[in-house]
Amino acid sequence: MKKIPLLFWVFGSLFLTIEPLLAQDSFARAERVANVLGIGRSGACSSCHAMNSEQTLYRWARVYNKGLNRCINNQALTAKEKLYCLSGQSLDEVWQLKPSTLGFWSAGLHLNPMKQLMQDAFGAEQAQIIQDQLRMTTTMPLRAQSLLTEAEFQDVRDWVDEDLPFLDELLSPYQGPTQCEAFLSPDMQSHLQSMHEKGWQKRNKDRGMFMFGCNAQSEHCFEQQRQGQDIFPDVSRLPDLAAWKADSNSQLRVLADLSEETQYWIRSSADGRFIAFGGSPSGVVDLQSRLTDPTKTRIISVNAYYDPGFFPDDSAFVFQGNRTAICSNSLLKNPNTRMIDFSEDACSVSDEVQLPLYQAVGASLDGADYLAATGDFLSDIGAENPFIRSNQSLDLNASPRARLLLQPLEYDGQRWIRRTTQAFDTPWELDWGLAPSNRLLISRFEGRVEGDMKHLGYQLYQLTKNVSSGGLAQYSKNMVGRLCFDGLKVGFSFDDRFIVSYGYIKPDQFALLGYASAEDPEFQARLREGTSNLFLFDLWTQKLHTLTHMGPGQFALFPHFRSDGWIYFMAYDQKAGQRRLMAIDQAIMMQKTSPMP
Amino acid sequence: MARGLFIIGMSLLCLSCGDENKSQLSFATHASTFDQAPIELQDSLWQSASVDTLTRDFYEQRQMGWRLWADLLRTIPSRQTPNLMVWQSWYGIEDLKIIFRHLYERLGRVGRHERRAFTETEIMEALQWNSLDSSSKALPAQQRWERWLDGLDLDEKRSTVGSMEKILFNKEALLFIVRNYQRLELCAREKQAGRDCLSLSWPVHTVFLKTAWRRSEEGFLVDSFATDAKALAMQWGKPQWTRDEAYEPLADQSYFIRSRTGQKFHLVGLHASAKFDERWFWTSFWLGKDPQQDYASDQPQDWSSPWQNYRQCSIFDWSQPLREQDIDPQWPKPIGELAEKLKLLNPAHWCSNPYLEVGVNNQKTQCIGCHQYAGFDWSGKELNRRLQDNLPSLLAPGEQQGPTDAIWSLFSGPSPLIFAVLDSIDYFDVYDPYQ
Repeated sequence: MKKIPLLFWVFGSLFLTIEPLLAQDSFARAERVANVLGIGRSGACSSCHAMNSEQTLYRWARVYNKGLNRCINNQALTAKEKLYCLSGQSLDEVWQLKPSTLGFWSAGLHLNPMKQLMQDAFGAEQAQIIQDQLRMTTTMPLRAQSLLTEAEFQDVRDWVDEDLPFLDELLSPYQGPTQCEAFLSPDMQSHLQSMHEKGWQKRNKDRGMFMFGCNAQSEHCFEQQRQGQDIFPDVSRLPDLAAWKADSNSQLRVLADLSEETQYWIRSSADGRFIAFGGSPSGVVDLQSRLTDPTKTRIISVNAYYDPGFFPDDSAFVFQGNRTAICSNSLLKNPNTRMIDFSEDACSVSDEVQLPLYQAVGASLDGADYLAATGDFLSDIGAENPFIRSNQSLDLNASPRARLLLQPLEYDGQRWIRRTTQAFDTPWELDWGLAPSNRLLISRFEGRVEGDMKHLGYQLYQLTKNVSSGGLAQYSKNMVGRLCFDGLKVGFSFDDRFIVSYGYIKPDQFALLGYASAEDPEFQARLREGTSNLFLFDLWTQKLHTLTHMGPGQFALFPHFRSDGWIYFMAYDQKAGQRRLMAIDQAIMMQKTSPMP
Repeated sequence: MARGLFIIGMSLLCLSCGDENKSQLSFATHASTFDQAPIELQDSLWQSASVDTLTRDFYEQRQMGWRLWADLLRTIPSRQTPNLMVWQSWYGIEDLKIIFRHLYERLGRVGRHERRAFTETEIMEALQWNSLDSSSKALPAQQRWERWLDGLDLDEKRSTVGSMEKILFNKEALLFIVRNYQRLELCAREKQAGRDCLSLSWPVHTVFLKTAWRRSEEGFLVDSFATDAKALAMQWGKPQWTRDEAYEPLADQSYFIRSRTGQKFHLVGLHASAKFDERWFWTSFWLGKDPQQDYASDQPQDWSSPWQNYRQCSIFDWSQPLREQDIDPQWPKPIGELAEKLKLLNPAHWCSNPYLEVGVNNQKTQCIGCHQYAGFDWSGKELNRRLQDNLPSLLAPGEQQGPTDAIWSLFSGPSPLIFAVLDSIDYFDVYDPYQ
């Protein structure tokens, strides 16, 4: 009888002794994982992802576990089937992994068990080729000198297996915003007036920039016909697309069908002739070929991955690949250019112009800096990301340690360089937009509402460059507005007056989209199948306008302005698998109906 | 037009420089009423050029260089002070683009289709139109300079490695382009198709100007290069121009401008190509650290700071007077020493601007050796390869001359001048059939 309590005591003591030890080990491992990945600190993933976001980490864990349980540990599947299961593809497709289907697996693609699976599925030689390709596009951390070691990834796996213990200790308690209070500083009126008179829209017009698709006076655009048919038809003449137009007075035109699969953002040159898209490979569509060759659209292949951006002076463009590249637009205008690999004379590519992803670029109007604004971001691959598209589980990336990085790009007389980065603490802000003039910044901000992180609105800043008497230049930002409407990353018009955004449908948007109630069957169909639309905010009239009315399973994505005020975007019809490049003139209409003095 | 206006706190040669206010360009926004077209070089300058003397006399080549720079740096007579310099009133690619578009658009659809030549009246009207802003105030010189300056940083950035210069040109050059646009277009098309095109010849008194700027402050310093005889001989032994040090020039040591946002740019190099007779005179002008030394030691006495800190080298066509010419003891001693070094070279002439001639072996070149190939489809890499592997081919007359009469910027570089013409032609070629 006495032995039993003794045994209990012995085991109990042992347990009491071991438990803290286990906890210490577990915490140490959690800290190791945090240090490696950059959770609540700087690490492998923190330069591109919001590593202070519970949602992000839990989402990655969910995706990881789903892949593990449904695919990798599924003994009924062959190695090849496991890999296709992981990518969510059918076996008759070309196998293609995307980070969004991998979660934490994306940091261990080069290690077992993934490495072994690829060898078993495709053979050693082919597996190596695949590994090399994945290293460029998918294996995380992208563009890093080194990947996670076996031991580091094992720590990550163990930590995820145990459901992310000590995550709270690794992250800060929530002290962020909980609501959006709209305001707009009266100072904005004088800024808009000034940009109306001498912003990039005016400057480019004065410089004689020919706008794509327009007559020489830029008064009539996209009205060219071939054999009596519009080359860039308005959707009102296309029965399947006619309903896309939210305002029947606007022109909404199809610029081109795009057979290529795109990834992440598209953006166009200031004159609207070129539209660049990310993908594998990336490319640039020369819309002018639609006018010169009815049989073929010229697409220049670009050896990059994503995030194109054009400077507002029509001088150069940026693309993100293994490294950031900046090339002169003259390269695109040369009809002999079929492919760009950045070895061209017109390109600068070096570590000295390296920029973080999802950049927005601008150029000062007085010969000072080019700027790139970057920060935390929500990456949207383009209507294939269920975490964004689904109204139930938005992929929210805002964090209390979010920072805005302003990267001046300079030419020092001999080469492009990125000058000293200026960092701003911008808690809970992400998806930075930069006005073409470099004088306005905008962020999306998120906050906790009823226990969930949600998009709250946009914060608008005026950006000023100050030079001290000693010649040191510093940017300062001053908040001039808070705009409380829904959406994702935005683009500014070339006169700084308009902000265009897009957003995936949410249950409370029925009125905004013109429905009497949330129960409207058409609205419900869109909620069910997903849709996204464009929204335009006029800083001059302070009104929000809905630009599109996409159908169920149809998505308006990545809107941005060209110099004269036309808005370009991509329309993706998920059922048909069809991408179209589109243009809408609603901002130009508003410039006419609500002119600035 | 609401472009900001600015004033130049600096006038040339005649002022007592030395304080920052006088040697910087600031961007004050007060009205002004310049009404000049681009100011041409003076007739007396052209008349002072004796081709025969330039061919035979090294020292006269240098003196011609000083005269040309004095004329280019001359301030424009104006009721306003301070003033622009002659070279600052010249045309840039933006002017060419705007003027050509104005002319071409007015040809009408049929005229464009036929590529009708512009009449002299039309051309002169277009030049005058370009000299007026949209509100009909006459502000040509400032507008041109401001437009050019506003693009300074932007254009240089777009230029990337090897082409940090910006190009300006005089009225003769602009007139030649608009009068011959059909031929230049044909040539451009041939080149796009990978074929040669007919050679052209720029008219007498054409002048092209290349400028080089370097920033200082905000972490930037300006490189300095000694160019006395000893230092130059050492540079020729190095792989490429190699700076001696980097420094912040004092207010009276360089001509500099300040952008509205405060960035400081020093004019470190100017390079002029001037057509005398049927041949080119080349002269390159660069910033040195100390006044009136080495290649500035024969500078005319009436030059004042900051221009006393600028050196120049000059050559005329392929002439090599130092092959035959003795060194005159009357020449300033540093010039005699430099001439001694040049005599040892083969070929016995040299002119390389440390701020403009970047790249391997480019410190050993003389302008014409490379410019003779202008118009060939050489990439920057190709030019660098030739500099590295076949320097002699860039120092002696080649068997085949390039088609653009020594002017690279017509068809080459990130923003060739021909783009300013093709921009309009291509646009209307595409859109005219739809009108």
